[in-house]
Amino acid sequence: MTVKEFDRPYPADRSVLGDRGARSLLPVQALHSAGEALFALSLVGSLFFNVSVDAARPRILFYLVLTMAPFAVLAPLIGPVIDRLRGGHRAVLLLSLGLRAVVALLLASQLKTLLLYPEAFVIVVAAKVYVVGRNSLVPSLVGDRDHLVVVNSRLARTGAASGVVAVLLGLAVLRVADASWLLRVGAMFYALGAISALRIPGDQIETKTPPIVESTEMHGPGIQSATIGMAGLRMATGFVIFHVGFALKTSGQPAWIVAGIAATGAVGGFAGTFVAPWLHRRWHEQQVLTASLILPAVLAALAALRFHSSTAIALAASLGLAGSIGRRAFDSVIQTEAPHARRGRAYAGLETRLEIAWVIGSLVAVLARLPNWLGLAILTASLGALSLNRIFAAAAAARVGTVAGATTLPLRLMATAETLAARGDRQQAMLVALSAAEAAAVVGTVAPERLVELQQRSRDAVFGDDPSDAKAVLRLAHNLVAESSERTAR
Amino acid sequence: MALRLRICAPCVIAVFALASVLIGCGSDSEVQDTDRDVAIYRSIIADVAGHSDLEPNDSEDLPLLFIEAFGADGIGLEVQVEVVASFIEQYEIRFIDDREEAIEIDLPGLPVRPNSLFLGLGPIVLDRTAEVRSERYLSTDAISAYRYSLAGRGASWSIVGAPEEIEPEGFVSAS
Repeated sequence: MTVKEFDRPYPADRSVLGDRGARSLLPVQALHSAGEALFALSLVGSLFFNVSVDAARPRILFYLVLTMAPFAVLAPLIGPVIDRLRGGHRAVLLLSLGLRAVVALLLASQLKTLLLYPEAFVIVVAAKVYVVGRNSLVPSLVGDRDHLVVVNSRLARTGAASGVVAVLLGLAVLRVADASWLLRVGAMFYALGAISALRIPGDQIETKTPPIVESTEMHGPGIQSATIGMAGLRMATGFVIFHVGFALKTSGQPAWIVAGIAATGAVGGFAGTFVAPWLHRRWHEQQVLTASLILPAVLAALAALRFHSSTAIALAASLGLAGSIGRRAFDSVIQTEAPHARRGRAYAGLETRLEIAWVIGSLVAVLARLPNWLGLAILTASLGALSLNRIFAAAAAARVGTVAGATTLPLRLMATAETLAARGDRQQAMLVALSAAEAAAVVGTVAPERLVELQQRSRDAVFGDDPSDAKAVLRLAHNLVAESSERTAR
Repeated sequence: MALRLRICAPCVIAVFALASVLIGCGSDSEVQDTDRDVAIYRSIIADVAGHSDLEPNDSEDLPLLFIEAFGADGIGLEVQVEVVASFIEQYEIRFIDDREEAIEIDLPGLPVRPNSLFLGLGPIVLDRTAEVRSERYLSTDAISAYRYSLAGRGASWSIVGAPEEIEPEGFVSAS
């Protein structure tokens, strides 16, 4: 792979329809999103608004912790089994949608009972399992690796559009019937989604990629940085759902405001699918991800200064928009920097961590039960700190000739070498560092005698036991790569 | 890995099942206590709402009945859920955490929201009868308080005599 390949633009959306597997996922995604939108809307008519938050908190906490358990405990055990099964991920999608259809029907008659909590959390967990399963499945359905980001974008747009339509449908249903009918209609969508999932071709997660390659790619600085950013965004979403939900309840806002928030969140997500490509044409994907953290931070600050239904709606819309934009940026980073891991099980692990981040954000909101302004101020500070950290990190990286997320092959190899060294893999670290310097010699300018010196020292250090030799090799390789990058940039 | 799966998966499922059962069920005496508390609070709420100018079932939106629990222990979630369910056709019951939920904080005198009732309910004091403090809030200068006596057994409790008018305490801090 040449350096040029990393900068190649992604193909246009039109090629997506050529992937039969990806095409079969579109109706499933649309029905999943429609079901989710109606489920969220149905909570307007649930027990949540009738009982005191303080009384319900232990129960909500309990089920939130349970929500985390399948991802933290079961996923590492069952995930590899599903990966090995042909059609395993299709089965996950089918089961998730089927289970939600059944539970939504049960919940329809139990919205005002204590069964709300376990049943709602089953739906939440099943939806998260669907997201992890879908994102693990997509790479195996796409013939050309370069199509992945486009397919994900298309899926996001389909899901967001379907969510907006479902919210409008739900609001119409609420005018003539109660919230239980939203769940009945939602159950129908879930069931149709499960049936549609049968049309997805049987997949098998790629296991040919050696685990060390997956691991090395996934531990690259760009991936780490993007994952932290995306996890921050997911955490913020989880936090806002519960914090703002409690705030609206305790400030006596009418239930339609909650419906409005669900609707604007969906509209924000839909708008994001159009804004994201526009941003990607102008900015680096890591910059887009940073921008998607700044936007909700600003809106959270406004809501903290003056909490009102309008600021709450604006915050929800900004999170929907940021989530959509951030997701595309995140996918781009993964596609660029971890093309092998993207098709392997390491990626499923990453998705799982993002879902856990959502749950942690929710737990913080429920557990801390902060005053409204304080919670939103902390959210602003957290997102702001994360954004600033990314900005400073990018600026620091730029000073040595790159941006966070290393755009050239030598820099990426060097970053990988440093990650390996930090993990104690000295021999691999030195060999990768040597490759980085050799790559820099190919694409840039490295004094031949210094490269020979590095090669000699690497040979000695690889077969020696002295850690200081390894450090010296890494330092020398780092300097060569950085100097070469600076010269190339000039 | 297969061994880990065989050992861990049943354990996790068992923990889930046990936790669900524990959280979903209470002992017989706890269930009886819940039924008793629901019956007592339901009688008082029905009495206060019955003497109010709320108009149940006349409009598309049910009248709102805000309830604040006085006392450190509050009213248990199970009791709240049963009370909500028992009035589901007549009133939209809301147990609140913050008085802002029930009153118009932007209006002078902090009146209660339109077509709604704001009640405070104290803890149940059990002797041969049950005694409960109940306060009704209209605005900062219109608060009334009564002590209700109830007699009964199990899930059937009824108000004994006229409620005794007393000095408001629970809502005083809202003034």
